[in-house]
Amino acid sequence: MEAMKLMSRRLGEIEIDENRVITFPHGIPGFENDREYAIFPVVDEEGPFYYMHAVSNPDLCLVLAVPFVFFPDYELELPSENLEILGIVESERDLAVFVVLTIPGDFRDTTANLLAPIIVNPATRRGLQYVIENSRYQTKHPIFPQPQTNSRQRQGL
Amino acid sequence: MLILARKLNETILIGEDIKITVVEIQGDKVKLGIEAPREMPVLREELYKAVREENRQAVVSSRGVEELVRKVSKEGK
Repeated sequence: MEAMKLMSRRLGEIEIDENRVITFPHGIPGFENDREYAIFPVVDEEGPFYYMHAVSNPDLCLVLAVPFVFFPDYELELPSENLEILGIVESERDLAVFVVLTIPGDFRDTTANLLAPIIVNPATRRGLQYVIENSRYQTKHPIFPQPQTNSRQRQGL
Repeated sequence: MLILARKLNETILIGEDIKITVVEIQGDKVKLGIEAPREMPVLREELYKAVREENRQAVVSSRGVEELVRKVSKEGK
């Protein structure tokens, strides 16, 4: 297994197994020119959190989560044309699905972007961020139950 | 910007592969049918912009990750 060095403003210099480097042929929205990312667990393989770190941009570090841990009912349908980017899979279970987290100053307000999951084919090491058209999902779903304050209830009306 | 006037059921061609047809007009709403190569993503612009904005906000800047991981591992999720 080849190891490579990755420079991260946040994590310092880290060694990454090349198998963990995923190519996003179109980049992701907002970062179209960064196409190679290392995706690796924040703590261990069991955990629901992963770093997605650009290989050649020390500042570009995202945190991903396995969505089903926090949103058991989460579902998406991936139109088959995406397989031209990801490469062929026998079943959808061969694809890894992550969602991007936005972690503000107070981590209890962390949200997940269910509208645009990150889909990875580990076999071809290709990935994409798929924006789901016509879905009920948004870019900010709180991952923890939010306290019900009066003002929040009013906003909901 | 090139501006073209089209009526119901009329089409615009972009290159050889992309066809945009006016399918329905109702008040201030227009329905467009788009035929494009399968590998070409077609998205409403506001969706793309929302995701772009969210990705930019999501770039890790706080110490929240460590706190988040600690909290979730404590709960045994």
